[in-house]
Amino acid sequence: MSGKLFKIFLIILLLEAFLIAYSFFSPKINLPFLNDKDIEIKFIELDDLMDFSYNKVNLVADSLIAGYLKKDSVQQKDSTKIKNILKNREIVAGILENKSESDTAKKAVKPKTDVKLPFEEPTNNLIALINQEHNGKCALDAFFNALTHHKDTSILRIAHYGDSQLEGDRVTSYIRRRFQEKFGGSGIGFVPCTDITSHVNLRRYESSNWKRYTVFKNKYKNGNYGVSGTVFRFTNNNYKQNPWLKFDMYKFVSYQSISILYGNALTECIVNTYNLNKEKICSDTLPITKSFTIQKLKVPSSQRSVKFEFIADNSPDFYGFLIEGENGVQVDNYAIRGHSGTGLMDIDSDYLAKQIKLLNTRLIIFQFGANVVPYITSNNKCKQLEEKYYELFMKFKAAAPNASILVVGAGDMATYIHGKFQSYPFLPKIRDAQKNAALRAGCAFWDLFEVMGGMNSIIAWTNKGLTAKDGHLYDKGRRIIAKELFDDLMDEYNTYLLKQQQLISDAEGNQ
Amino acid sequence: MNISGIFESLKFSSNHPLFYNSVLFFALFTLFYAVYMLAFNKVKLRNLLLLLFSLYFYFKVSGLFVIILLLISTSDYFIGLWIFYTKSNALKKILLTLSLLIDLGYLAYYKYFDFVLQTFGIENSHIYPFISNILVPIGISYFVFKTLTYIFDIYRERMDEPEHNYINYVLYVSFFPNILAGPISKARDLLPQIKNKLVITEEHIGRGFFLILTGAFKKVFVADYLANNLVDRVFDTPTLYTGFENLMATYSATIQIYFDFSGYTDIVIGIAFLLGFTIQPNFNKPFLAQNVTEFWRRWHITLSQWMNEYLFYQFSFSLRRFRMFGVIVAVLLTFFISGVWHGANWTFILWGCSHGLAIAYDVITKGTRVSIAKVIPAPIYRFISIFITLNFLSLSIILFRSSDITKAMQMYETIFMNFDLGIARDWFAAYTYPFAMVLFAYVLHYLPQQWNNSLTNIYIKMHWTLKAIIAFVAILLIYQAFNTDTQPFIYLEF
Repeated sequence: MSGKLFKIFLIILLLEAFLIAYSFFSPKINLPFLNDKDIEIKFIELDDLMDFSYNKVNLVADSLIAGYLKKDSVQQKDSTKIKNILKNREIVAGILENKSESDTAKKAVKPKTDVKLPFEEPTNNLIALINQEHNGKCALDAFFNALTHHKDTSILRIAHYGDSQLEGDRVTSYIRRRFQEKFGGSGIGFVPCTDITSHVNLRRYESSNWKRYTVFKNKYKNGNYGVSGTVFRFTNNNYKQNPWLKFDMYKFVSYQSISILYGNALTECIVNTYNLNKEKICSDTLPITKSFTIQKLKVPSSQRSVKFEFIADNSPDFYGFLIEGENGVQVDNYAIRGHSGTGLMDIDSDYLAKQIKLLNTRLIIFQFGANVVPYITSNNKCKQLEEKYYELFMKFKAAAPNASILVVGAGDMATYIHGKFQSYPFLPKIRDAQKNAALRAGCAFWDLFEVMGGMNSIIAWTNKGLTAKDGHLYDKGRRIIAKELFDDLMDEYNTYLLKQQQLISDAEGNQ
Repeated sequence: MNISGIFESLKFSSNHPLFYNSVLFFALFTLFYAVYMLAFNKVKLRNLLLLLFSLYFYFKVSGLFVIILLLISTSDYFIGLWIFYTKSNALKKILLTLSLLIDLGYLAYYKYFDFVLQTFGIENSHIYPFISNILVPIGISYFVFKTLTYIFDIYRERMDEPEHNYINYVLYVSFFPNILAGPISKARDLLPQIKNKLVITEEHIGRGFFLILTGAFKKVFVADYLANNLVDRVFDTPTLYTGFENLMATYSATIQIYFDFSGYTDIVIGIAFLLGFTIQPNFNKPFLAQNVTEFWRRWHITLSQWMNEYLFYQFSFSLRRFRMFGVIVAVLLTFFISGVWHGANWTFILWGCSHGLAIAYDVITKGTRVSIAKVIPAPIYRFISIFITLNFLSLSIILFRSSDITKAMQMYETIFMNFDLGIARDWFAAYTYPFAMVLFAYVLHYLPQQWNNSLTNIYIKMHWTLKAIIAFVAILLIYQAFNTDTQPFIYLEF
């Protein structure tokens, strides 16, 4: 045996002894030079040091993802076939068991039923959507009622609020596609004048004299925000060129009309529209008004590329554009990066109510949470969060009495703890806070955290290339989440239709 | 202590591959070393022990792919002997081709088959259900290159004789310190060490521990911290960030990748030192390079030497009649292959091609640059050259680091079309620590090599107990970065 090797071995042993000793004593050591309480020399705790067993892998998430991916590929390949089958399906009578809040709050198996359903059949056993019942009416009934009776005569809107997870029409565009495939409708709905991110349906260009105000940052002087929580204004004093906006829509976008949303117009504003060849194709005048107005522009539906030039002494408050059809379902994307949602409280309640009514918004989806997760680190903060969200949901309930509200809980997100990416420890409690707020306010709740597979599911989603570690969905992940949300809504819609049919049958029986 | 957990941890788990910086490796290495030091002077026993540990190490990393490793080693062991002893040149060529077919066949199948099918829009699970979801044996690119080196050298008679001892040869291919990601040892460098008695000096001990500690510092304290707190998030979703943030992430990724890879390499070389082996270094301050050609003499040195010796010289020799044009084609071909070797993804191929083009530019403009250098003061010329080269490397790292072409293009578009310096102040405020780490890393890289050598020499001369104490303090320090909370995901310009 070489003496040098023995020396190496001794160094290794001594080093290990030091580390084990430190691991054992470190919580009790109070080193004199570490007076600052913020400084703490951490090391692996002895139990962890001696525990060689593997961390538990979230197998639920793995199996859920496998199911979602399978469904996703089937849906993609056979969408036409499925669509035709669904078209020919009849609504048949049958009774599904009513779900009580308690049995849907957690993961549960849906009751099996032999009845044929009007739309897609339930596709997995996870019940993530809580559509609570109050006095014989469920939280989503107002929306389902509108969906059944009004979609053919007007545009029925769904407002999809969220943060960077949705910005640029991500996620929303998939939900919209599903709704429009099933219920008709065209176009891409709400498009903000400017944004800090690219849009999935169009390429946007703008002159440099636009200002964007949001309920989150760079706040507006008063509460007259658009329903999206933003206001856009141009400043034309110092620019030789009139302010302009240009949208180059991608080939797959079809629409019948473009409308502009505005208010607070102290002078008339002329909007000249140019095509790809820089030829003026129409000119509209936005009348003077103080209140929220939807002005349909004379833009022909065939135009892929439209450039709007604005001529006015003072900029009105612009809220955005509506690019859409004449009827069916429209899903509007109202996303603000970095937002927790609570900034929407700054929108003037009356102004909000007026906009929701004029726009005919019948379902409001709130998908927030990702931006609060890193900062919620105590039960007390969870409670405060619940109260803030409760206030927000109640505000929108009051502003939109004919609409349903669906709250999407925060999805799983990872942070680096003890050298490993793991879920934020308070995520389940944050989800519970959102759920409690939603249920107290009479809203429906969709549990994205459970849909993903619960605690540490984010690792599986990341490994499959569906999300980033911070929970931001990639394209495939977005498609899956949108499809799951839509499917769950359709399951509830089936239940609603079957219940309505049963009520009619009962009434006829009584007669 | 969880006894069943110990047994469980000794099995292969694809979710928990063995890493050099894990507690389990530390424990296993200690046990192994206790036996290794007893067998150290008995070459055959020492090599057998090393081989068993190497194979087990690879099993812990890659599971049953250890069989592929053994199959490749075995076939080349026999082909090498055959090539050496056959007199027929034609047969030598056939055997060389056979070896290439086997080695590159494995490599192509495991690493590139899925990529090729995807490129041509073929879903393998439908057409070839038996080969769907091909997993890649970790390190296959490295051990295939190692074994090819041996075959090439035997064929070209650059080795005096082939390796007759099967255990020695398999140990050369599977030698655990450098099986996963190099450095790619040549057979003519490593095999003589395997065959002979080794001598361990105080320098081996000091240098070995020092390299392991500095390597862990580079890898965990700097590279992992930057990856988790700055680089990964931007490269994951570049469109969520502005051009300025993307550019900052790009510069950070450049130094992060260097610290990650060179840190890993330092650990590997350090472990080899403790075993009595010397492995060639892989890096030499690459961002001091004044052009891309020089960069490749400083970056992943063993790979570029391999590419130079076995590809570029062959190509340029074959194309010598085309003079400069032949050289350029040889460069482009070599770097195309280098890109493909780095990964089955168009991003790597484009990255390789971009470096090939940059070197072709170096070749073409050499005369002009020499003329310019004569009229500009040397330090200024050097600074400008380093600056330009570093920026080229940083912009090309976008291709290297992005998971797909779409994301790479999004990054380029964001940097060049959505660049707003106005958010710089907010960014520095939000990312103070990661940015400080980036600066620290660049400063560390640019410090004179002499400083590092001096520190190493001081450590070498220390008493062994002091060496252990310093190692202990260093590990505690590194663990602080390992254990730190992640920087919250902040998106500027809300």
